[in-house]
Amino acid sequence: MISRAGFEYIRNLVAQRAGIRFDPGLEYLVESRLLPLARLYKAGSVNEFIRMMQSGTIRDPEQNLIEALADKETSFFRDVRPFDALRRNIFPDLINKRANKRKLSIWCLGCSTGQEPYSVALLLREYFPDLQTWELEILASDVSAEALHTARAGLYNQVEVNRGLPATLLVKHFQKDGLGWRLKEEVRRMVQFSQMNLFEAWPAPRKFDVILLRNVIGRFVAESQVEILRKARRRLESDGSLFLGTKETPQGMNEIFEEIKFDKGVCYRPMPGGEEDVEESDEDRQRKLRELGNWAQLAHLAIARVGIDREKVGQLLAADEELKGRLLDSIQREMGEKKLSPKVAEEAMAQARREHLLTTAIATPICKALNESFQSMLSVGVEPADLTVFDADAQELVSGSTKLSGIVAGRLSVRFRPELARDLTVEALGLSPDDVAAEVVNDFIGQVVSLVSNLMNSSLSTALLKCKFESVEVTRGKRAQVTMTPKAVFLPLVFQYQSRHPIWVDIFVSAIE
Amino acid sequence: MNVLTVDDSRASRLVIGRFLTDLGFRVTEAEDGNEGLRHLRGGGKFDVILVDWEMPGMSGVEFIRAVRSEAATMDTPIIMISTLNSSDRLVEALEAGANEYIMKPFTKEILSMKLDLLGVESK
Repeated sequence: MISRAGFEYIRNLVAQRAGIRFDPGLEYLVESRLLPLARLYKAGSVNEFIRMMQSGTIRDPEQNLIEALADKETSFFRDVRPFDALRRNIFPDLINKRANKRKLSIWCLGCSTGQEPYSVALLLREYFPDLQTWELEILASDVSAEALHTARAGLYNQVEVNRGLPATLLVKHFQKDGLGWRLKEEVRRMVQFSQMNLFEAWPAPRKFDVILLRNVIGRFVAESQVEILRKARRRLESDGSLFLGTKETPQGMNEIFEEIKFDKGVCYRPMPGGEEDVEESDEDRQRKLRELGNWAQLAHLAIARVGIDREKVGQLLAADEELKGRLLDSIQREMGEKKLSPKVAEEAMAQARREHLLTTAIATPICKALNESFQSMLSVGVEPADLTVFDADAQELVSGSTKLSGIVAGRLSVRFRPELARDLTVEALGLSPDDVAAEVVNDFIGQVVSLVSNLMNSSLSTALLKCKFESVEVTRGKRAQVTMTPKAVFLPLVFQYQSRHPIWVDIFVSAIE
Repeated sequence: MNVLTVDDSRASRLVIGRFLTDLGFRVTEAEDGNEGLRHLRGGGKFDVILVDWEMPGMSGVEFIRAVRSEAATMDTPIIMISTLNSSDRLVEALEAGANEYIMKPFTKEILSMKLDLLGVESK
């Protein structure tokens, strides 16, 4: 039996690190989920395992801990009603509204072993066959690498296929595989999986038509629930639909979403207006800045107006509070039209400073090296303008050091020149475009890791170099997934590759200390 | 909601009966296909029928075909319950007219989910 002190320790730890809630009374659940982990670390009991964690005998058990404690409960067409609503109301409505765009995107958060996103895929395939000519995107995320491994394999045991999956769909879309049933590839490939902790940074902002956040939010502490709902809202089209678990009614829901009732069940639409009232996280503010696109030019305009030497902006601002105030005012004026809050304007100023410093320190050498590397291989060009590094702490640079200290995040966005896309076929090598794209992506990441490492301080370099890419899958016109070693140094890495368009490689680099 | 369970195994009937009672259904039991058909032809109104595949005399599939051939029960939802779990067997049962299929062993929750899929709600 888990000790009271041990339970409290675990409870506090996962609440702080992952925002996951375990109320008193759930001791049995924590114990049963930790038992396999205790065995893995060769502890005699769960209590001994906790003592080993507390004494530091076990290093970095947190990802494993969060993974072990994650709720993996799921089933095909769970609760049926949301899927009825999707079939009868939501999708027919969206198909009308998106007839020109011919694009639908669905995001399934907390997808566990994949039954839910696959249920959506099966539903679309079964009832809306015309959508096969549309651009359909079903993304699915979960915190557990182990669950995602199962999800990607699409192999389920008899109990799992018995639970909620209509027999007609079982015989039509699955094949017997040993003792289990494997979902056919044409359905599997409709869903793209990625690892993501809802408590941490979310991937780049973009809008989805449908978000499924079912039986997930109740696991989080109240503050995190509201934050997660707000993040979900910002990623939902104004006429998009959010589905929660059948019995889930988180606090604060009514201020962010309005309830839409169907014959069977409910979904939620973003509350019209009022978005500006929603308090944004730092991460979201920065995203907003990036979404605005030309904030840097505006900031630079403001810098010019105040009369600061752009080359020395970092040093000048660090030394002169009054100047900082003037610049802030100037940026606010420049950005007034966009109705940005002072907080956002201040961030713009900081970004302007960093952008300049970091472009000089990192972007230029990386571009140069990447261009040299890729031009010899595949004639892929990287322009400095396409490359942005952000979220870095430039203090060390300000004080004149050539190394950056405490950098925790960066983004390199590289646009491959469209006229060179045909080179990616490389028929002479007998490779498909996808093969070559995978190679390019892999090589590119390697280059970036190596270059960024050289520019960072030693501890981060070490951390970065620990990162090993296990596999890169690139699917034509779809998102590609990079699977990494369990102790992920980079958080989520998403590449988008579209064969008939310029290839975008968006890398989100986030080092964990 | 009334359910007819057709199963030659007393133990199976007991377990399934218990599950269904717990889920709020009224249960009528039949030991084989012929008894099941007698219940149906005798004016019994059932919202769903559960039938085992392997039974002496009339098999579950034959029972389903017989049920489907009669106007009164043409559309009554039927769930086949069986240890047979090959894709071919599932297809055979569905083609005969079963609406759903449960592979043994199964739980009350699985049964409940299958009933939900058929829109058969208890109470």
